[in-house]
Amino acid sequence: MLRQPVNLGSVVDDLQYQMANSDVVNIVGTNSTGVASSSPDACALKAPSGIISYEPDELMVSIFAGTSMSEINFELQRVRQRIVIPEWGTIGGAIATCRNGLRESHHQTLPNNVLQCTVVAADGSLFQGGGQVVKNVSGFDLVKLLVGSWGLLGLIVEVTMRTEPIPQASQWVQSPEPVASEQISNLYRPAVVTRVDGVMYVLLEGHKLDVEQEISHLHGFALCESPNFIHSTSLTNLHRLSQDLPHSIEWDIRKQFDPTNKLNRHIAIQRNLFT
Amino acid sequence: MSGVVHTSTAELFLVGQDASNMMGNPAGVCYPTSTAEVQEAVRWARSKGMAFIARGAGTGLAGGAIPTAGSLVICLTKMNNIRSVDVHRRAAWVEPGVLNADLSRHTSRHGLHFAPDPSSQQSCTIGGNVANNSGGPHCLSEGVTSAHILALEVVLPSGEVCILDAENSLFDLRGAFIGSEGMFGIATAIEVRLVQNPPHVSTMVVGFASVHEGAMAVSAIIASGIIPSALEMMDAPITRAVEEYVHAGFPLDAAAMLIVEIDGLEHSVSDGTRQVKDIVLRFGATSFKVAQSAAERALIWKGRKTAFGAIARIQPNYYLHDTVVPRKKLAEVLSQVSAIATEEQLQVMNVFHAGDGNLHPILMFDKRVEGVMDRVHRAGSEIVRVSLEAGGVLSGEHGIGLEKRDFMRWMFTENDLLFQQKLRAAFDPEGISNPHKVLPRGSGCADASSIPPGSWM
Ligand SMILES: Cc1cc2nc3c(=O)[nH]c(=O)nc-3n(C[C@H](O)[C@H](O)[C@H](O)COP(=O)(O)OP(=O)(O)OC[C@H]3O[C@@H](n4cnc5c(N)ncnc54)[C@H](O)[C@@H]3O)c2cc1C
Repeated sequence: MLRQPVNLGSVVDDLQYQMANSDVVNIVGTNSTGVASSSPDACALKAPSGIISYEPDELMVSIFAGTSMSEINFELQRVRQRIVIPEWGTIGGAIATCRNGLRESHHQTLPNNVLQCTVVAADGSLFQGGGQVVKNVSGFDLVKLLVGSWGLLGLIVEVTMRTEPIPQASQWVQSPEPVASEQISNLYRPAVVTRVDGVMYVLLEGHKLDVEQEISHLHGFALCESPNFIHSTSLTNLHRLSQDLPHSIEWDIRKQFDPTNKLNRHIAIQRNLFT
Repeated sequence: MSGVVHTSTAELFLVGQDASNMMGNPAGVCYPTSTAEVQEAVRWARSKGMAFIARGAGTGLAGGAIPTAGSLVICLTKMNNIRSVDVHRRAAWVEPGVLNADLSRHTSRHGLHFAPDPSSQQSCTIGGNVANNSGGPHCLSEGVTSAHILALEVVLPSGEVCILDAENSLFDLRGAFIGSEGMFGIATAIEVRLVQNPPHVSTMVVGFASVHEGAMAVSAIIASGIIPSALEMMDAPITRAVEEYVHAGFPLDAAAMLIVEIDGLEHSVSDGTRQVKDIVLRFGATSFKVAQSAAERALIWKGRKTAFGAIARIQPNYYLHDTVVPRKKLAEVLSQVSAIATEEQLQVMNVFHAGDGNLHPILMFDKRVEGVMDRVHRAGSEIVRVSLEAGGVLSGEHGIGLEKRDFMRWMFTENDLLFQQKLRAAFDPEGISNPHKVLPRGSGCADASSIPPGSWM
C-alpha cells in the first residue's frame, strides 16, 4: 500500500555526496531569492523538474519540486485550472519560502494547497508528509512544517498540490485616494486587498456579473491591469527574529532534521538557528 | 495544586472515556480557569513525574482524549470565554473550552462565523477542533480548522507559555501544532479567523436510484469546476432513519441522496444551482429539490447533523469510521465497504462528506451479541485497507489517537514516522503530553518508558 518511490534521478546520491564532502550545502530553485549567491563557494542542489501526474478532475497535480511555476501554470491553464502562486521561480522554492502572493482568502493560500511533500533529508533518506487526497489528518502535519522551512529541513523533491478552477472573471481595481474602510469591508471575500505606495489595489474574482456588481458598489476606484508590484521574497526579509517563542522549539526541529547544520547554513545563521 | 486535583471514582470514570469505545486510566483531573492555572497543572504533573492530557468536551472518536499512563487530565471546559472579537480584522481570541457553535452564535450579530462546522459542533470545543484539525460539511470550500486559526497561545510540555503565529517564528509552528492531538502541549487561547456569512445560499437535495450514480455525480460536480460549499451523501438506510426522526423531507424512495449547497454572490449561486441540476439529471437523479427558505435549509442540515442520534433507534451500538479516498474512487470503495459489512454480517450505513472523498461508514451492532466486537474490528480494518488501496488515507477528520495508531505503518514508511516523531520531540522531548497516541510503538517514539506499571496500555 505504500507508494512506490518516484524516479528521482541522481538527487539522493548528489545530496549524500555533498553532505559528506562539503561544509555548506545550499538548496536552490532558480535562485530568485539569492540563496546560492550568498555563499558562492558552496555547492547548490536542485530538485528534479517535470510534472509527474495531473488529474484535472480530482483538482490535483503531482510535480517535481524543481519545476518552474510558469511551466506548471501553462499546463494547468489548458484545462482552465491554476495554482495561485506568483509566476516566478519554482514550485519547490515557492513552498520553501511560503511565497503566497497577496491572497486574502484562506482557501487560496499556499499552506492549505500543499497536500503532500516528498523530501530528501539531510541524512540522505527519503520521507513523505501528507497524502494524495484533499483532506487528511493522518499523523503530525509535516507538510505545514515544510511550507516556509527555507530548505533548513531537507530538500523537497516532489509535491502534490491542490489546483483550482480559474474563475470566470478576474478584475483588478485601484484607487489612489484614501478609501473608506467600509467600502472594502462591504465587499464579499475579495481575492486581494493591498496598499502599495499609497494606492489601494483590490482584486475581485468570480462570476462575471457578480464581479461587475461588486465593482459598481465601489466609489473612486478605476479598473486596472494586474499590477506588477509583487517582488521576490528576498533574504533581507528574513531578519525578523523570534520574540516570544522559546527558541528551543525551532532549534530542536532544525537539530532533529539536520544535525550536521549544513543545509542552507547561512539562513540558519541569520535566523539564529545555528547551534 | 493537589487540592484542586479531583480523584473521585465517579469523576475519573467520566474523564477516562471519550466518544470512542475505549476506557483509560486517569490519575486525577483538574479544571483550570486560566493560562496560569494550566501552567501550574503541567508543572505539578511534571514535579510528580506524571504525564498529562488536555481534554475538551470528550467528543473525539479516535480515543485522543483517553488518558494513558496514569495521566493527569487537564480539562479545559471552564476556560470558555470569548476574550475579544475584532470585527474589522475578522478575528477573535477565544479560550479553548468555547463550544464551536457558541462562537458562531456569538459572532452572528456581526454577520460573521467560524467556518469549521463538525456535526458535533453543539458540544465540541474549539481547543478540540484545533487539536484534531477538525472538519465539517462546509470545509469543502472553506478548508478545515487549520485554515481558520491565526495564532495559538500554548503551554508547552516544559511548562513554558508561548505564542505560535506567523510573526514570531520562521517555521509554521502554528500549523504544526494544529492536528497534533494534544501531544505538543495545551492550547490555552486561540485566535480564530472569522468569515463573512454568505449573502446567498442554495441548498439542494437530490435523490438517486443507486449509490453508484450518486457517487458518479459527486465526481462530475467537482470535475465541472464548481466548488460547492458542501457536498454530502447519505444512503437509503440512514436517510430513512433520519427522516423518521427529523422529518426533513428527504426522498425516502432513493437509494442515495446528496445535499449540495452553493453559497456566495447572487449570480454564482444561481448559475451554480443550474449547473448542478444539469449534472445530477445527467447522472440519473430521481428527485431534485431546492430549499425555499432559511427554515427549510436549517431542517435539511439538522437532518444531516443529527444522523448519529437517529441511529440509536436502530441498533444500540455503532462504530463510526473515517477514511478518505480520491473522489473518483468513491463508487468503487463504497461497494467494497458494503461487501465487507455483508461478509461480517453487520449492518452498515453511510453519511459522509462526499465532496472531499471523506467516507464515514457506520457499522451498527449490539455489543451484547457474543463475538460481535471481533467482527466490527475486522470489518473496520478491512475498510481502512480498501481505502488505502484506493490511494486514500487513514483519517480525514477524526484523527489517529489510539484507534488508528497501529495502522500508521500501513500508510507511512518507518522513515516517515521517524520524522513525525522528530517533530514531536522538538515540542515534547520527554513524551509526557498525551503519551502513546498517534505514533506506533517503535517508531523512535520514546513515550513507552514512562508508563507506570499496571497501567491500562
Ligand atoms: C456525533 C459526533 C459527530 C462528529 N462529527 C464530526 C465532524 O463532522 N467532523 C469532525 O472533524 N469531527 C467530528 N466528530 C469528532 C469530534 O467531535 C471532534 O474531533 C472535536 O473537534 C473534538 O473536540 P472535543 O472538544 O470533544 O475534544 P476531546 O475529544 O476532548 O479531545 C480531542 C483531542 O484533542 C485534545 N485536546 C482537547 N483540547 C485541547 C487543547 N486545548 N489543547 C491541546 N489539545 C487538546 C485531546 O487531548 C484529544 O487528543 C464527531 C464526534 C461525534 C461524537
